[in-house]
Amino acid sequence: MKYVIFFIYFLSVIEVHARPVSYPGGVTLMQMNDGYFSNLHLHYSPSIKYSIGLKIDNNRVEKWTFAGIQYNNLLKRINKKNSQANFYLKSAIGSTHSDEYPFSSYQVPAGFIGFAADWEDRRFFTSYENKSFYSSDIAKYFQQKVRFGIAPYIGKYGDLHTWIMLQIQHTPKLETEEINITPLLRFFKDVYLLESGVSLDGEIILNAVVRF
Amino acid sequence: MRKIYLILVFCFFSISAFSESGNLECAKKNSVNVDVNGMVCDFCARALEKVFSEKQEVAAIDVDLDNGRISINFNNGADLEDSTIQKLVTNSGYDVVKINRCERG
Repeated sequence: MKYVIFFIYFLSVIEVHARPVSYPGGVTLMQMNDGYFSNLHLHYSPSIKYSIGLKIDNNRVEKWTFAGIQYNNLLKRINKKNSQANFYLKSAIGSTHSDEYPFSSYQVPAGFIGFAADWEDRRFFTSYENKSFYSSDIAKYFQQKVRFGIAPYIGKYGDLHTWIMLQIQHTPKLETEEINITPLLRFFKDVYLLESGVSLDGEIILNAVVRF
Repeated sequence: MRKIYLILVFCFFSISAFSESGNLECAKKNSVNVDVNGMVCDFCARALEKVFSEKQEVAAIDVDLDNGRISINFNNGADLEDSTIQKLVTNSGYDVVKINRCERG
Protein backbone atom coordinates (compact mmCIF):
# COMPACT_ATOMS: atom_id res chain seq x y z
CA MET A 1 0.00 0.00 0.00
CA LYS A 2 2.88 2.31 0.89
CA TYR A 3 4.36 1.80 -2.57
CA VAL A 4 1.02 2.43 -4.26
CA ILE A 5 0.68 5.75 -2.41
CA PHE A 6 4.25 6.66 -3.34
CA PHE A 7 3.60 5.74 -6.98
CA ILE A 8 0.42 7.83 -7.10
CA TYR A 9 2.27 10.73 -5.48
CA PHE A 10 5.11 10.34 -7.96
CA LEU A 11 2.74 10.48 -10.91
CA SER A 12 0.83 13.38 -9.48
CA VAL A 13 3.74 15.74 -9.00
CA ILE A 14 4.50 17.56 -12.17
CA GLU A 15 5.05 20.80 -14.01
CA VAL A 16 6.03 21.98 -17.41
CA HIS A 17 8.73 24.17 -18.70
CA ALA A 18 8.95 26.92 -16.15
CA ARG A 19 6.88 28.05 -13.26
CA PRO A 20 3.60 29.67 -14.31
CA VAL A 21 3.74 31.95 -11.26
CA SER A 22 6.74 34.09 -10.40
CA TYR A 23 7.51 36.46 -7.49
CA PRO A 24 5.69 39.75 -6.75
CA GLY A 25 6.41 42.13 -9.61
CA GLY A 26 8.02 39.40 -11.72
CA VAL A 27 7.46 39.24 -15.46
CA THR A 28 8.10 36.02 -17.39
CA LEU A 29 8.21 35.46 -21.13
CA MET A 30 7.87 31.91 -22.42
CA GLN A 31 8.14 30.89 -26.05
CA MET A 32 7.59 27.24 -26.86
CA ASN A 33 7.50 25.17 -30.02
CA ASP A 34 6.77 21.54 -30.73
CA GLY A 35 5.60 19.54 -33.71
CA TYR A 36 2.12 21.06 -33.64
CA PHE A 37 2.19 24.28 -31.68
CA SER A 38 4.10 27.51 -31.38
CA ASN A 39 3.01 29.42 -28.35
CA LEU A 40 3.80 32.55 -26.46
CA HIS A 41 2.98 33.26 -22.85
CA LEU A 42 3.82 36.55 -21.17
CA HIS A 43 2.73 36.78 -17.57
CA TYR A 44 2.98 39.14 -14.64
CA SER A 45 2.82 38.00 -11.02
CA PRO A 46 1.33 40.52 -8.58
CA SER A 47 1.97 38.00 -5.80
CA ILE A 48 3.51 34.62 -5.22
CA LYS A 49 0.01 33.12 -5.43
CA TYR A 50 -1.05 33.98 -8.97
CA SER A 51 -0.09 35.43 -12.33
CA ILE A 52 -2.02 36.90 -15.21
CA GLY A 53 -0.91 37.34 -18.77
CA LEU A 54 -1.28 37.01 -22.49
CA LYS A 55 -1.40 33.61 -24.16
CA ILE A 56 -1.15 32.92 -27.88
CA ASP A 57 -1.31 29.37 -29.22
CA ASN A 58 -0.76 28.74 -32.90
CA ASN A 59 -1.54 25.25 -34.19
CA ARG A 60 0.60 25.04 -37.31
CA VAL A 61 -0.89 21.72 -38.46
CA GLU A 62 -4.59 22.53 -38.19
CA LYS A 63 -3.90 26.21 -38.87
CA TRP A 64 -5.78 27.99 -36.13
CA THR A 65 -4.68 30.48 -33.48
CA PHE A 66 -5.93 30.99 -29.98
CA ALA A 67 -5.33 34.31 -28.23
CA GLY A 68 -6.50 35.07 -24.75
CA ILE A 69 -5.87 36.05 -21.17
CA GLN A 70 -4.35 33.35 -18.99
CA TYR A 71 -4.67 33.16 -15.22
CA ASN A 72 -2.35 30.88 -13.24
CA ASN A 73 -2.94 30.07 -9.61
CA LEU A 74 -0.44 28.48 -7.24
CA LEU A 75 -2.65 26.10 -5.28
CA LYS A 76 0.00 24.76 -2.97
CA ARG A 77 3.77 24.89 -2.52
CA ILE A 78 5.62 22.46 -0.30
CA ASN A 79 9.09 23.62 0.68
CA LYS A 80 11.41 21.06 2.24
CA LYS A 81 15.07 21.38 3.11
CA ASN A 82 16.19 19.62 -0.07
CA SER A 83 13.16 19.74 -2.32
CA GLN A 84 10.20 21.74 -3.49
CA ALA A 85 6.79 20.73 -4.86
CA ASN A 86 4.19 22.94 -6.53
CA PHE A 87 0.58 22.53 -7.61
CA TYR A 88 -1.00 24.92 -10.08
CA LEU A 89 -4.34 25.59 -11.71
CA LYS A 90 -4.17 27.25 -15.12
CA SER A 91 -7.02 28.70 -17.13
CA ALA A 92 -7.54 31.02 -20.06
CA ILE A 93 -10.34 32.66 -21.97
CA GLY A 94 -10.14 34.27 -25.38
CA SER A 95 -10.97 33.43 -28.95
CA THR A 96 -9.74 31.16 -31.72
CA HIS A 97 -9.35 32.28 -35.28
CA SER A 98 -9.12 30.12 -38.37
CA ASP A 99 -8.93 30.73 -42.10
CA GLU A 100 -8.48 27.08 -42.91
CA TYR A 101 -11.18 25.33 -44.96
CA PRO A 102 -14.10 25.00 -44.17
CA PHE A 103 -13.62 28.18 -42.16
CA SER A 104 -13.08 31.62 -43.55
CA SER A 105 -12.08 34.39 -41.18
CA TYR A 106 -13.90 32.35 -38.58
CA GLN A 107 -13.60 33.37 -34.95
CA VAL A 108 -15.17 31.68 -31.94
CA PRO A 109 -14.88 32.05 -28.16
CA ALA A 110 -12.38 29.64 -26.66
CA GLY A 111 -10.66 28.70 -23.45
CA PHE A 112 -8.84 26.05 -21.53
CA ILE A 113 -8.31 24.82 -18.03
CA GLY A 114 -5.52 22.65 -16.73
CA PHE A 115 -3.66 21.36 -13.73
CA ALA A 116 0.10 21.28 -13.31
CA ALA A 117 2.40 20.02 -10.62
CA ASP A 118 6.10 19.51 -10.14
CA TRP A 119 8.58 18.15 -7.69
CA GLU A 120 12.33 18.62 -7.76
CA ASP A 121 15.44 18.42 -5.72
CA ARG A 122 18.86 19.32 -7.01
CA ARG A 123 19.35 15.98 -8.76
CA PHE A 124 15.90 14.82 -9.85
CA PHE A 125 12.89 16.47 -11.40
CA THR A 126 9.41 15.28 -12.27
CA SER A 127 6.43 17.17 -13.55
CA TYR A 128 2.94 16.66 -14.89
CA GLU A 129 0.44 18.91 -16.57
CA ASN A 130 -2.85 18.50 -18.33
CA LYS A 131 -5.01 20.82 -20.34
CA SER A 132 -8.57 20.69 -21.68
CA PHE A 133 -9.02 23.07 -24.58
CA TYR A 134 -12.38 24.03 -26.01
CA SER A 135 -12.96 26.16 -29.05
CA SER A 136 -16.38 25.25 -30.39
CA ASP A 137 -16.15 23.62 -33.81
CA ILE A 138 -12.57 24.70 -34.56
CA ALA A 139 -10.78 22.56 -32.00
CA LYS A 140 -11.34 20.53 -28.86
CA TYR A 141 -8.65 18.48 -27.25
CA PHE A 142 -7.25 17.12 -24.02
CA GLN A 143 -3.51 16.87 -23.56
CA GLN A 144 -1.28 15.70 -20.76
CA LYS A 145 2.47 15.60 -20.30
CA VAL A 146 4.81 13.90 -17.89
CA ARG A 147 8.45 14.74 -17.48
CA PHE A 148 11.31 13.08 -15.69
CA GLY A 149 14.67 14.75 -15.36
CA ILE A 150 18.10 14.21 -13.89
CA ALA A 151 20.93 16.69 -13.46
CA PRO A 152 24.25 15.19 -14.59
CA TYR A 153 26.09 17.53 -12.21
CA ILE A 154 25.09 19.77 -9.35
CA GLY A 155 25.97 23.36 -10.18
CA LYS A 156 26.33 26.21 -7.79
CA TYR A 157 24.27 29.38 -7.88
CA GLY A 158 25.20 31.29 -11.03
CA ASP A 159 26.61 28.28 -12.88
CA LEU A 160 25.22 26.93 -16.11
CA HIS A 161 22.76 24.23 -15.03
CA THR A 162 21.94 21.25 -17.22
CA TRP A 163 19.11 18.76 -17.05
CA ILE A 164 18.58 15.63 -19.11
CA MET A 165 14.85 15.07 -19.44
CA LEU A 166 12.33 12.72 -20.93
CA GLN A 167 8.91 14.07 -21.87
CA ILE A 168 5.93 11.84 -22.58
CA GLN A 169 3.02 13.68 -24.13
CA HIS A 170 -0.38 12.13 -24.54
CA THR A 171 -2.95 13.77 -26.77
CA PRO A 172 -6.01 11.55 -27.20
CA LYS A 173 -7.98 12.25 -30.34
CA LEU A 174 -11.36 11.14 -31.57
CA GLU A 175 -10.02 8.26 -33.64
CA THR A 176 -6.51 7.74 -32.40
CA GLU A 177 -4.46 8.23 -29.29
CA GLU A 178 -1.14 9.85 -29.85
CA ILE A 179 1.83 9.50 -27.57
CA ASN A 180 4.98 11.51 -28.20
CA ILE A 181 8.17 10.64 -26.38
CA THR A 182 10.86 13.28 -26.44
CA PRO A 183 14.29 13.20 -24.83
CA LEU A 184 15.47 16.74 -24.30
CA LEU A 185 18.12 18.88 -22.72
CA ARG A 186 17.38 21.85 -20.51
CA PHE A 187 19.92 24.55 -19.80
CA PHE A 188 19.55 27.55 -17.58
CA LYS A 189 21.77 30.29 -16.34
CA ASP A 190 20.82 33.47 -14.55
CA VAL A 191 17.29 34.38 -15.75
CA TYR A 192 17.50 32.51 -19.05
CA LEU A 193 16.23 29.01 -19.71
CA LEU A 194 16.54 27.10 -22.97
CA GLU A 195 15.48 23.57 -23.75
CA SER A 196 15.49 21.52 -26.87
CA GLY A 197 14.86 17.97 -27.97
CA VAL A 198 13.76 15.76 -30.83
CA SER A 199 10.89 13.32 -30.35
CA LEU A 200 11.11 9.70 -31.43
CA ASP A 201 8.87 10.77 -34.35
CA GLY A 202 11.37 13.43 -35.37
CA GLU A 203 9.47 16.44 -34.07
CA ILE A 204 11.59 19.23 -32.66
CA ILE A 205 10.91 20.88 -29.32
CA LEU A 206 12.47 24.27 -28.72
CA ASN A 207 11.51 26.32 -25.67
CA ALA A 208 12.91 29.51 -24.22
CA VAL A 209 12.04 31.35 -21.02
CA VAL A 210 13.24 34.71 -19.75
CA ARG A 211 12.33 36.08 -16.35
CA PHE A 212 12.53 39.82 -15.82
CA MET B 1 57.19 31.31 34.56
CA ARG B 2 58.04 30.18 31.05
CA LYS B 3 55.34 27.51 31.26
CA ILE B 4 52.78 30.07 32.34
CA TYR B 5 53.83 32.31 29.50
CA LEU B 6 53.46 29.45 27.01
CA ILE B 7 50.03 28.57 28.41
CA LEU B 8 48.92 32.19 28.10
CA VAL B 9 50.19 32.37 24.51
CA PHE B 10 48.42 29.08 23.72
CA CYS B 11 45.18 30.36 25.28
CA PHE B 12 45.45 33.63 23.34
CA PHE B 13 45.77 31.86 20.00
CA SER B 14 43.07 29.33 20.92
CA ILE B 15 40.62 32.10 21.77
CA SER B 16 41.55 33.97 18.59
CA ALA B 17 41.06 30.84 16.51
CA PHE B 18 37.72 30.09 18.21
CA SER B 19 36.61 33.65 17.71
CA GLU B 20 37.51 33.52 14.01
CA SER B 21 35.76 30.20 13.50
CA GLY B 22 32.64 31.74 15.02
CA ASN B 23 32.75 34.49 12.43
CA LEU B 24 33.15 32.03 9.58
CA GLU B 25 29.38 31.65 9.64
CA CYS B 26 29.12 35.18 8.31
CA ALA B 27 30.70 36.20 5.03
CA LYS B 28 30.64 39.84 6.15
CA LYS B 29 30.09 41.37 9.55
CA ASN B 30 27.24 43.55 8.38
CA SER B 31 25.17 40.62 7.18
CA VAL B 32 22.53 38.11 8.13
CA ASN B 33 22.44 34.44 7.23
CA VAL B 34 19.05 32.92 6.60
CA ASP B 35 18.40 29.18 6.36
CA VAL B 36 15.69 28.65 3.77
CA ASN B 37 13.59 25.62 2.86
CA GLY B 38 12.73 24.84 -0.76
CA MET B 39 15.69 26.57 -2.36
CA VAL B 40 16.75 23.88 -4.82
CA CYS B 41 16.60 25.62 -8.19
CA ASP B 42 18.94 28.37 -9.39
CA PHE B 43 16.44 29.73 -11.90
CA CYS B 44 13.74 30.04 -9.25
CA ALA B 45 16.05 31.38 -6.53
CA ARG B 46 16.58 34.46 -8.71
CA ALA B 47 13.36 35.62 -7.08
CA LEU B 48 15.29 36.16 -3.84
CA GLU B 49 17.78 38.42 -5.57
CA LYS B 50 15.01 40.43 -7.23
CA VAL B 51 12.93 40.83 -4.09
CA PHE B 52 15.81 41.74 -1.77
CA SER B 53 17.53 44.02 -4.28
CA GLU B 54 14.48 46.28 -4.19
CA LYS B 55 15.30 47.13 -0.56
CA GLN B 56 17.65 50.09 -0.23
CA GLU B 57 19.09 48.60 2.99
CA VAL B 58 20.44 45.61 1.06
CA ALA B 59 23.81 45.85 -0.70
CA ALA B 60 23.79 42.31 -2.08
CA ILE B 61 22.71 38.79 -1.34
CA ASP B 62 24.63 35.57 -1.76
CA VAL B 63 22.73 32.38 -2.46
CA ASP B 64 24.14 29.06 -1.31
CA LEU B 65 22.08 26.30 -2.88
CA ASP B 66 24.24 23.58 -1.33
CA ASN B 67 23.32 24.56 2.20
CA GLY B 68 19.95 26.16 1.54
CA ARG B 69 21.17 29.47 2.87
CA ILE B 70 21.18 33.10 1.80
CA SER B 71 23.54 35.77 3.14
CA ILE B 72 22.08 39.25 3.11
CA ASN B 73 24.75 41.94 3.05
CA PHE B 74 23.56 45.34 4.22
CA ASN B 75 24.72 48.80 3.32
CA ASN B 76 26.66 50.64 6.04
CA GLY B 77 24.46 51.32 9.03
CA ALA B 78 21.46 49.65 7.45
CA ASP B 79 19.54 46.62 8.65
CA LEU B 80 16.26 44.78 8.22
CA GLU B 81 14.16 43.38 11.02
CA ASP B 82 13.71 39.63 11.20
CA SER B 83 10.00 40.01 10.47
CA THR B 84 10.80 41.92 7.26
CA ILE B 85 13.34 39.32 6.18
CA GLN B 86 10.82 36.59 6.87
CA LYS B 87 8.22 38.38 4.77
CA LEU B 88 10.60 38.95 1.85
CA VAL B 89 11.70 35.31 1.81
CA THR B 90 8.07 34.16 1.94
CA ASN B 91 7.19 36.56 -0.88
CA SER B 92 9.97 34.98 -2.90
CA GLY B 93 8.27 31.60 -2.50
CA TYR B 94 10.37 30.02 0.23
CA ASP B 95 10.12 29.23 3.94
CA VAL B 96 12.47 30.63 6.57
CA VAL B 97 13.94 28.03 8.91
CA LYS B 98 16.31 30.22 10.92
CA ILE B 99 17.73 33.72 10.85
CA ASN B 100 21.31 33.98 12.09
CA ARG B 101 22.49 37.46 13.05
CA CYS B 102 26.19 38.09 12.52
CA GLU B 103 28.38 40.15 14.82
CA ARG B 104 28.23 43.79 13.95
CA GLY B 105 31.51 45.50 13.19
